[in-house]
Amino acid sequence: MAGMTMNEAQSRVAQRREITERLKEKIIGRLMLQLEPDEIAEDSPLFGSGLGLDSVDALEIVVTVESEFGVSITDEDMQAFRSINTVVDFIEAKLEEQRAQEEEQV
Amino acid sequence: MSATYEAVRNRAALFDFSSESRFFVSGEEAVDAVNAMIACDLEATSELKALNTVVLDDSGAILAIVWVLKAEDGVWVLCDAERSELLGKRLIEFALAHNAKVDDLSETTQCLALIGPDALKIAMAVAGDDVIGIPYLGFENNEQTDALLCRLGYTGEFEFRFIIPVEKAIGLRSLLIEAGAEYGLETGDPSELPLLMLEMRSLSQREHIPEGFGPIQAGIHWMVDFRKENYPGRDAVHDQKTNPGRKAVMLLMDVEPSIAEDKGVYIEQQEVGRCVYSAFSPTMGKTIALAYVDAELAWVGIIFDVAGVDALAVSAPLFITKTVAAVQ
Repeated sequence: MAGMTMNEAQSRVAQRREITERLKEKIIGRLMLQLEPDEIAEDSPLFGSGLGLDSVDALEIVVTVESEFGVSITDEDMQAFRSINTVVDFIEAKLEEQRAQEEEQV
Repeated sequence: MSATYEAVRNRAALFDFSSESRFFVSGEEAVDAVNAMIACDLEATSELKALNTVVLDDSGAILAIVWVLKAEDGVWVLCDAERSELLGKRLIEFALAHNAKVDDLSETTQCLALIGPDALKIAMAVAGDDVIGIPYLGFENNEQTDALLCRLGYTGEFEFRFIIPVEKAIGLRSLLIEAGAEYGLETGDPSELPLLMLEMRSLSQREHIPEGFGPIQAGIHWMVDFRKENYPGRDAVHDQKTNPGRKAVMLLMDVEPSIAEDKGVYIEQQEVGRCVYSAFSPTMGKTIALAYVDAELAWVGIIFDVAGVDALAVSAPLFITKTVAAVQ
């Protein structure tokens, strides 16, 4: 049988939902968007026809992600800032990296 | 990899969208008439700007995905050919309720589209250097070509659409082909567009959205202005936010696309969704599929079972296109 078990899937959903909703709320607050979290599709492009954000907004999102999730962002990392989902991917990868480093130090 | 795909992602292709429908709404209340019908706010949109939005029925289901272009003398409404009759009837209904008139210009105009990272250079060669100043979702009456020149697009690449009177279309096509020769311009096959669109998480109504589904289920929230008060389907859309039923997710699989076609999506042998589209993405080197899955499981990172194979729910847009990389 392929795929996850239902328990694995539900646990994954809980983990993903927590970061996604936190990120949406912070972005809405920081950019003062006239939107509720459930009015933003996770795959909506952040720029152009999606949320219609601009380069100044992009910098605000960077600051939000750095301060809220405790991760540092380089110029190359900006490629991850395409949608809420791709930013959450980035945050998860960074947090995982930090966790691995901490475990190594212990 | 098809010639069209390769050209759109690396150079440019010339598409003929003439079979799509083009309506023009004029009159004192043209904006009010169109605005009453769509889910975005045309009143709040500047002139010479376009909206990509939806026309819904009262249950919140998508009747048509439309481009709405707010011109100085009226409003253009563009949609797929198969939605033409339905949209035309709706437009007339709303125009009759306002002081507005609808003309179907699908037969008297044609639409040619340049799509790809080199589309800007080719458009500039034919329509003048000022083309560079047209913002995304902007358009202008281009004097050099006598066309309505629009910068729209679903593929993450530059896309310039020329809407032009029929009698001038052959001349324009020749000019575009001539200017495109040095960039390796290909003739675009429209059947490749659903794949090129889905990679960027744009949806083709015909290929990607089952009848009866709404914008929340399809994950195209940006085509709705949630603060807008009055339009058909408004209450249903707001209800769908909390209870969408199934939602669209993009899946990545290591199998032939045909394996996923119209297949159930399972977790532990329990059907939790259905694939509606699958194709091989040359850029990803994998099959991508669009599935509608129970909303509580429609999250990135879940690995589903599709036809006995792992199908990973992934984030979109799937990659950075050459056009976007160059702009950044």
